[in-house]
Amino acid sequence: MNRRYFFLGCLALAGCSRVSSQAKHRVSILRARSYSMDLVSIIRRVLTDHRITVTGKSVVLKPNLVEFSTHAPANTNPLFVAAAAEAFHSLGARQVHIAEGPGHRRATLDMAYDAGFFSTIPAFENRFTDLNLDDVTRVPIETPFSSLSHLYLPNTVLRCDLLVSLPKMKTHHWTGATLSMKNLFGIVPGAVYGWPKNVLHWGGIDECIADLHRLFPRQFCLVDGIEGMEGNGPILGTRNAPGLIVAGSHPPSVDATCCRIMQIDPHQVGYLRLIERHLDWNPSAVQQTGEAIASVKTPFQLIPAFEHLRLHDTA
Amino acid sequence: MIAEADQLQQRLLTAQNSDGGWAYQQGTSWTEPTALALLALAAQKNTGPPYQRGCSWLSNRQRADGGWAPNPGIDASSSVTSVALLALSDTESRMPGFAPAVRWLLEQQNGEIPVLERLALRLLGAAPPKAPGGSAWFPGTAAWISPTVMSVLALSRTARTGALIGPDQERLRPAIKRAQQYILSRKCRDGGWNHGGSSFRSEDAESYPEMTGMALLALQNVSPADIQKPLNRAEAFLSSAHSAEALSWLQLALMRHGRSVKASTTSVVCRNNRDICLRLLALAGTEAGVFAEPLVS
Repeated sequence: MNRRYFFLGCLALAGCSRVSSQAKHRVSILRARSYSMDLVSIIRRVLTDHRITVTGKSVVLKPNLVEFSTHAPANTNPLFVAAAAEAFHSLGARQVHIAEGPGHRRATLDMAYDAGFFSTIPAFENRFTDLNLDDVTRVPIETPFSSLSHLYLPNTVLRCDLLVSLPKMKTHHWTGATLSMKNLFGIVPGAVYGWPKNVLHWGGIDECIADLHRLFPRQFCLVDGIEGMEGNGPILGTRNAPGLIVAGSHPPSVDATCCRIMQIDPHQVGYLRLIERHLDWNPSAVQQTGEAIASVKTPFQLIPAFEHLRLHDTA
Repeated sequence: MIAEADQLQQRLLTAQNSDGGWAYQQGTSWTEPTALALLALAAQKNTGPPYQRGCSWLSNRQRADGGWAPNPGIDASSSVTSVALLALSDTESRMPGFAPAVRWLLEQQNGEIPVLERLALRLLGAAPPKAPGGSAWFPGTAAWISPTVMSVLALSRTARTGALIGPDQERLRPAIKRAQQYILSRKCRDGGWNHGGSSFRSEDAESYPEMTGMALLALQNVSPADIQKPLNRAEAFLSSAHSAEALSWLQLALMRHGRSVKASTTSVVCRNNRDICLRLLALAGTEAGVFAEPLVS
């Protein structure tokens, strides 16, 4: 072995050791071809597999509710939310609450009614909090990515034992993809910041997504990828139906996995790059369970401005 | 309709917090629902002790900079200053804090963009980040329809009452005009308004009923040609309004523009205290002076 090969070998070993030193976060991909399937059993199984213990705990489910009826699926399906609620209850959760704060429209409960939440989830109004109108607490952001030093956040979310992000698998015309991390924009209260929550745009959209991720270290993510939205998401896109649920406790790893399924390069998505660069995380450091990405990949159309995000890796 | 108004008033009075303010749903008192409750009660000629306690709560929460925060625990004044000013304009127009509140609102309005910057934006095909004439929800951010509308209503009310003197009074009319131009510039293709995003990547975005109603309410005294299509859009929305908020703003706007609202048979549910207030204002109809009177006399 000459010195050149010895040097390259050392570099390779250093690279391997860096990846192996990073925790591999577990992400599950599960098939669910329609909302009429036994989603409760599927979600219950994945929670058990991930050793999520909620006995006696309070859980807040945070779906993505953005618009009154649209031409394509923009909201997390109420059947998916109902199944998640039942699964957490069956595992002994003391309380399972549903909460959301839409970004454009103020009539949150009317939107929920229109989207079918009232007819799907018994006593929905008593189990739901409009996070836009909740009482708030000032939360400092230590070493922020964004230009924000603090946020006022709703007490319902701050006081729960486990926050469960239930996003819709969608493309997004500002960030490329909106998944479990971007879904947390919905917890920022409109009554303080307005409709839309424009401070998050001025603070830097990707940076604020990364900040919110760090503010909520105890999370579980269940992505509604049974039906998603491609093209000009999160509202004006069109339907794409991968027939999948993606789940895990580490939002960046869940989102990176969703991106690969959507054939979006996670290394190119701004907020994932921030986490990768600054929080010692690698999108490749995922312990994949369930379906293999290669067998479920479903290319999502991207608007021209985001074609550079396209994942060309066929693996 | 009277029975409905009585029932809603009872709900509103029951929901008043012991400190005199109102929450959006339940919990601590916030500025916007408290100010709307005062407007709604005044429109219903109900200015007894609960109203007076609400006025005290609101006037005592004015901040040193002249504005109001969304709630007392928040360390910044915001666009809720408009609705606070509207609510107190009848009762306390001569109070020391009145002129600072108006000045705070005027300072929040985006100014003109320098010529070179305007040229550069045009070449790039981009919308200005802070469109002239518009107002933000939260200081330091972009302008949107709702806070701009509320600013127009508050400034118009101020201009009409003649509560200010000198340079402050002279600033009002140009500011109102600029805000109306901003609102007109954010009209959707279908003739109505949504929250007011630029058309960049949202060229096909549809209008919302509630924003269309709000915008029309702030567009009194503009060219009829500018609002003909929006008024038709508002009438179309009225028959299928999904929410108390949408129905109320549409009714208030159409009444203001002399259109009929009697044809509406839509049934809506008041989901929170803000909804109750908006319904009470709409039910008061032309009696809801703060929204129904000419904006600028």
